[in-house]
Amino acid sequence: MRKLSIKFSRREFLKGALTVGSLIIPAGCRPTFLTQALGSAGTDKRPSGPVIWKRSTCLQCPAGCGIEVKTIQGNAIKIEGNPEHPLNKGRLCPKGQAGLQVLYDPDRIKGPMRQTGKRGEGSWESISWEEAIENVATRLSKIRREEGPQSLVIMGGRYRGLMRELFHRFAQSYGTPNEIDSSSIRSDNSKMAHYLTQGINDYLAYDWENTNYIISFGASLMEAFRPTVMVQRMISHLRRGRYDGRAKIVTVDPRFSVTASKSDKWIPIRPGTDGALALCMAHVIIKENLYDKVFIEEHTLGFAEWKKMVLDEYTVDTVAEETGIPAAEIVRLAHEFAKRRPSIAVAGCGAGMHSNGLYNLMAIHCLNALVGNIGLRGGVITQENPILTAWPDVNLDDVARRGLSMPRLDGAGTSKFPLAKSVSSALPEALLDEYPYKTSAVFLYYTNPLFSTPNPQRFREAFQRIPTIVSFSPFMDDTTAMADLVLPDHTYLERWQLDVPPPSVGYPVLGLRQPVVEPLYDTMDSADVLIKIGKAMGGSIDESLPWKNHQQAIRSALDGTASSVQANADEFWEQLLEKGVWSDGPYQFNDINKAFKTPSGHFEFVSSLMKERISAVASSEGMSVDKLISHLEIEGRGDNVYMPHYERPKSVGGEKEFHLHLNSYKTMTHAEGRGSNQPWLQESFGVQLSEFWGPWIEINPETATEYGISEGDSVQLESPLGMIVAKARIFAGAMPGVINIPYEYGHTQGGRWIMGCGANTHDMNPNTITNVIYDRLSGAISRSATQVTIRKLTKLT
Amino acid sequence: MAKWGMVIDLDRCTACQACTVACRVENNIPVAGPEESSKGRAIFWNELISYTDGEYPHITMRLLPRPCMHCDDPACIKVCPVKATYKNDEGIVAQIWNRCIGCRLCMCACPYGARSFNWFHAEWPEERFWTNEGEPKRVMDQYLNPDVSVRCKGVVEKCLFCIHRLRRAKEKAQKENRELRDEELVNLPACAQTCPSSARAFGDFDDPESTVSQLAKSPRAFRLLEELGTHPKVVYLREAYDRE
Repeated sequence: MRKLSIKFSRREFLKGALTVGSLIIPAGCRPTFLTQALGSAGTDKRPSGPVIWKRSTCLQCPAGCGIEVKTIQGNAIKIEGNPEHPLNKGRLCPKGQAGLQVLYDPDRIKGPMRQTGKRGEGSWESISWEEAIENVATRLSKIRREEGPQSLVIMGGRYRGLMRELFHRFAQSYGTPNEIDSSSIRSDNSKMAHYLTQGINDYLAYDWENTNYIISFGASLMEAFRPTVMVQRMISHLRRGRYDGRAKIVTVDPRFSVTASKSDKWIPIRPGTDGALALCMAHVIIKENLYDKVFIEEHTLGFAEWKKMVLDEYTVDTVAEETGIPAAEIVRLAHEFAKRRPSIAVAGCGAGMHSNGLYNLMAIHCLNALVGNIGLRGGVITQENPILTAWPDVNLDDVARRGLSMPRLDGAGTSKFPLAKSVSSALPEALLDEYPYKTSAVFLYYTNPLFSTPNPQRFREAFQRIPTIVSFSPFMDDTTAMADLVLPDHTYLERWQLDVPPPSVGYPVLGLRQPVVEPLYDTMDSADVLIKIGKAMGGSIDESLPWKNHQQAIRSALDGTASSVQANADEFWEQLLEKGVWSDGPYQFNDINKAFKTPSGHFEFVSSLMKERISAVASSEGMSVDKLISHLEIEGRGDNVYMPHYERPKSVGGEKEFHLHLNSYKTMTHAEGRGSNQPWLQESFGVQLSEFWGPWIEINPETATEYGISEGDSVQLESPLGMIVAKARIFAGAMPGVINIPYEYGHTQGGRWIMGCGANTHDMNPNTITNVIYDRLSGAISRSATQVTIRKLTKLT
Repeated sequence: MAKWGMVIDLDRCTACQACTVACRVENNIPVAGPEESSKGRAIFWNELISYTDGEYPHITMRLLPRPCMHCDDPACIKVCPVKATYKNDEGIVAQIWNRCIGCRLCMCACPYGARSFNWFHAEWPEERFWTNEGEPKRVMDQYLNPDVSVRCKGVVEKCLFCIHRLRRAKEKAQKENRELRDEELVNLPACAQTCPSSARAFGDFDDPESTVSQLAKSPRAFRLLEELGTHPKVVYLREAYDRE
């Protein structure tokens, strides 16, 4: 490996620092007289080079905000928002601001490497790109020939722009059905709920600007909702930006979050019972005739059946008991929601990450339909995406065709998880059992299952059995440490990439990520690596990726966008380079029907898509629908199964001595995937309780007394799976019986700051003690299904 | 003569801390790390302060971004034995780093906790990368802003309303032979430029037409600890809640 630390004299160093024009003298060898001679801030010193601003797109979270980076002599100095980007309009959140610490992360992977010792041991040898690509291509060819292409598993997380399509083409032409997305540990239930009711398998866009009332069920609008900056802008606008009054924001959440404290009203709710609350609100709205009859008549199906169920089963008193919310409060919420139209009911992981999550989210979304808030100003709108060139289908050779006909390893789309597309957390069992077949190679693209999946130990065990693991990560994350080969990507400030943001403003938005500085290290764009591997393997795999490099593929895809708006392709490209974004607004409220993409063209209270899928799966596996339903542990029967209804959330541990509910959450400065190695964010992490740099839990004062916990104690949280350690903070914003823990800490790899957080030998990752419980319909995991107990830390091991 | 000040609308603010991080990036503020942070030694020119009140479930929390108040009658100036801190002609409470002797009297005097002390030299990891010219450069030094000098150990530092940005704006206006415009000032400091909720406005309180002067007329306006007679030039606009 290249030797990176070299010694040279102070004089040389100073000379170097001064000749490149920077007046900053490295701290370690800074003579005091010189520092002082530099004087106070803003004296007459000037940067020696011209300031060049370069536009690109952020990747600190999935929102895809536009950025503008200040560079001087090839150094990135500051990131600001791109004023022309319709999502963030020149603004940025703290994560976006901290992006320089991703680029200049001292613990980044500096070039392709091969594991020389035992797996996970951390002995790496530097290799050349030619050798690395050759190595992967040879291994993959051998596996394809000898074991069949299905034994390659491609695990992916943050695919942006063309990356999903490129990996998909590679997987298809290679012949593996095992493209395993990490979406099931994220917000799959949201997308599925919209699909089953509205036919749109995606998040939704909302016309925040014009709404009068927002009720948010477990969506941390001011901390973790997408698109982050746009939502902050909109909330500000709803508060003070318009003349026709201030909109009301209500947050339903077991935890008193930043969002809750900034909302007009906080409604604490028993975890996992959000669906019951929504159905009860519907009960009140229907009973008091406050719903939009015209909308229901013209644009919905199955209302009569659903209405009957809602009126029969979700009376205010029963639901008040189930949710812990006073009856009068529920009635008031229902009135406000129906009378303050246009209103929005929005849901997030807090409501969706339970065994009953899909039904919860469907029930919540039904509120929007009930009062006719779909397709109208101030309600739910439909996102249109930019048109990219449709590339011809991949040519499959015989081997590929055979491979693709094999069942998937994760059981998505079978009686295990009938509605799922991908269930990453079900993978370890398949890998360990080698059922239905053996896996020989795993690709890891921007995903870190060893940290982010519940009970990640299973992955650690399973990965020991895989002969070849290839990671494309620029960072030595927990999972990459288990790889045999690391083919590091550039960071987002060094590479080309298209970026279509998730649903946001309704009209098409297309961002471009372009290098703002030259790559610091010997890294390579993963798309280019894939193209090169294809070239080395030849045949239909090579043909499936017919471009010279990623940039050429981007140009090819953009030709479609340019022609869709009758623009010249070259001019379109030049414009995109300059502006960093293309969009085609404003949103047209012309046709309400574009919101409904179900087979019936209506909003469906009884989901025909679900009915169809369930019976298809049942018949393909030769079982009756009823048997499949009971196999899925659904309590509802008959048509109720296909209607948004409430089922009690399942949890693990309560039958033993574990009686406290574990509730994990995100803060604004949690930069998703691998954000922890950014000290700026770490030092501003938990603003509510001024907790930084280390794991803490929040506990209600009463519960603390009951368990003998005092403020600041080191405590151990135990579940049937094991134990983690954190500091206890007594917080009146925690519900009695619920332990809140932020999702961030407990990395075993990833860099000095990640690993330094709360440095001790204990595990601190809440996932370690989180059981794997699924929403069996969608395969989405339930992060909030684990019961724990808490005690003062007794032994230090 | 201008009188610079800021208005922060707490009703717009979503407590995201973009201001805090942007300030640290812009002003080369070093990272303290876990151990020093736990001793309260992390440096924030702009900090988000939280205050909780009440019992479950009737709890309220105020989240207040706090830059330097740039008081018109600053307590810090009165106690500085060496005139390292002073109020400039335009009302900005400035600090001459190399004059500061590190006695920290100003920190005791400031009722807002707006000042921080450099207990150590700012340090960056030793890791280097090679430039195209074959020169090894320390990685984490690269993003330092050349417009702002790094303070050395033993001095007190604080928010300066991004005075270096103000100077650049003045130069630009001078070159174009015009006055500074309100619209180029409103988002001038790094915190205001990034603020996703546009909660912050910067500008001239001497100009009755400026955005800040207009906003400060709001019945929601208040200043922090006004009763101390410091006359802060940061005006807050109170939150509102629809609790009905």
